[in-house]
Amino acid sequence: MSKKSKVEKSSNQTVMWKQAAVFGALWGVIEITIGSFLHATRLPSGIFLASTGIALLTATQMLTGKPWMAFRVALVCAGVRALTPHGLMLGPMASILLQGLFVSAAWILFRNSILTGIAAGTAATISTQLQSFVVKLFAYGVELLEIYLQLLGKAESFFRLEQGQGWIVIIFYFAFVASVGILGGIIGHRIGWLALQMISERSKAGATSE
Amino acid sequence: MNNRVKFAVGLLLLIVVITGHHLPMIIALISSVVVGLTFERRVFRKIGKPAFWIFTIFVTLLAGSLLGEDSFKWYGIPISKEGIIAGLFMNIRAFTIVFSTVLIATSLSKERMLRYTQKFGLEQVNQAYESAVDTLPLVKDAWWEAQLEESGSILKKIARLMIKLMDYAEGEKIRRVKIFGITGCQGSGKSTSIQIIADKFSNDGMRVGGFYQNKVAGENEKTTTFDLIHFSTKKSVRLAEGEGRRGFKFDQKAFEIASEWLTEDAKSSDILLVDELGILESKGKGHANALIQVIRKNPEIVIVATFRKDRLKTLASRFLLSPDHTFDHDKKGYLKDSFVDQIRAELESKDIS
Repeated sequence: MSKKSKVEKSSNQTVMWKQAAVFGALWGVIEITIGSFLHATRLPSGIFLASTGIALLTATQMLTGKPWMAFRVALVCAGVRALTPHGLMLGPMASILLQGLFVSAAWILFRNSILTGIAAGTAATISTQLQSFVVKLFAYGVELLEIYLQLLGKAESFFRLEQGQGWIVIIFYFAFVASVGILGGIIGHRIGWLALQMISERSKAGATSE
Repeated sequence: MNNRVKFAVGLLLLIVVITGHHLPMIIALISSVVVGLTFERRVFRKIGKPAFWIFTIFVTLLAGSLLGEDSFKWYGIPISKEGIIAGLFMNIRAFTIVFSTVLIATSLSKERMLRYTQKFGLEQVNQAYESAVDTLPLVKDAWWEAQLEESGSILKKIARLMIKLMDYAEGEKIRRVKIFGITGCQGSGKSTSIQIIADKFSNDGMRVGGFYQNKVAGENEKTTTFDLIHFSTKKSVRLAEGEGRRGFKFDQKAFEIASEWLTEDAKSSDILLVDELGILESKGKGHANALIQVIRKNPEIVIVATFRKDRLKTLASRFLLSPDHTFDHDKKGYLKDSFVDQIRAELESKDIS
């Protein structure tokens, strides 16, 4: 590799990490403001924060057009969270990294199509619920799974549902969770598309003035 | 206890407790409590909350009623001894896992994380963390600029913000919104202050644009007319005439002329002075549209405007006026040099960039 291209490569890396830094900071600001509000109102913050994160990451990925940019942004945001006075909070950090991973992977598959937002949004919000379940299972052991199944059975008999219909309710719940993520993905795609249009107009205006 | 030992102890406790055998779990719990009491009180942070204990009792009772056989009735709830024991050990497992993960998390200090990222060749990640923290206050400025520059939907404003941040990452500066405000009750000297500012900056060789209001006292020493006086040409236009109890009648032509002054002056002036933003501007009328258009097309220009005190909140929100950039005559008296210096510093920073 020639010296010039090494320098160029290093310079591109620097710009990419700087971009990751600024968008990671933006995400941090959003997490702090919206997150505090949701916690204060005792609303389920996990899926809404995940949806917001997906919106931002989808827009960022589309705007920068560089592979794994969303994961870089997530890495920075997770790192910034670790620097807060609360210290390391592994749960939220894992969630943030997963969101970055999902958006990066979806963009590699679908590029700037709306399917990127839809796929990543679905995966991210469902994973927050599964993460919560997995963490509880890890903390309390496999007996918890037995408790959940027993509760499901009791709920079926209480609501006079047939055996097995309780799972349908769970599926509906996850469908609702996925829809929140899909909404975030669609909004992120729209923002990314608008930003790309603005950049295109700016380039045309710049070319015209020259 | 140093961080390495803490990490190792936390990991060991975690491994022991997830084996699932009862005796090791009890030993692990006792060890966690001893280590916590001796070296790391933060492990008790979560269990100090009442919600934690309520949940513990709930899990125990739930396990007691759902798990095991040979149940007996306890206040009408079928409970089994096996279930209660299973519930207690579930809680012991959870306590110990909480303790050990807190030990592990507190052992991973910021410095340690940075060392790991350097060790794995991710130095730029460290720089990105530092940059992100430095960028946090700029996000607010960028958002203000985006709101001023973009008139469309919230999604367009967010898109504009993201472009600004991307440009910043590529080396462009994020300019702070440069509107300075002078406020105070009627007759406090807002128009006088703005003329003083115009004189000071003219004497410094700056190009001053915009206009000020001249109040002409009518019969019985009551104000009956307002004229707008253009700073650069000294031309005057009648803005409003008093109609006694009916208030004032505004001349729409005057706003159009003022708008032309602002648009022309924005192209050639270093500083734009606007006197005054009041009830009409708080409703998006009067000088509001002209000023917002000027700001959108000339993002570099410095603006000093007088704001009516009784509409300050709405106007500050509409024109994104920061309390740090506002001079209140009612609180601070006559115009202070420190405020003028603040404006001068902003003009000089524009020159440097």
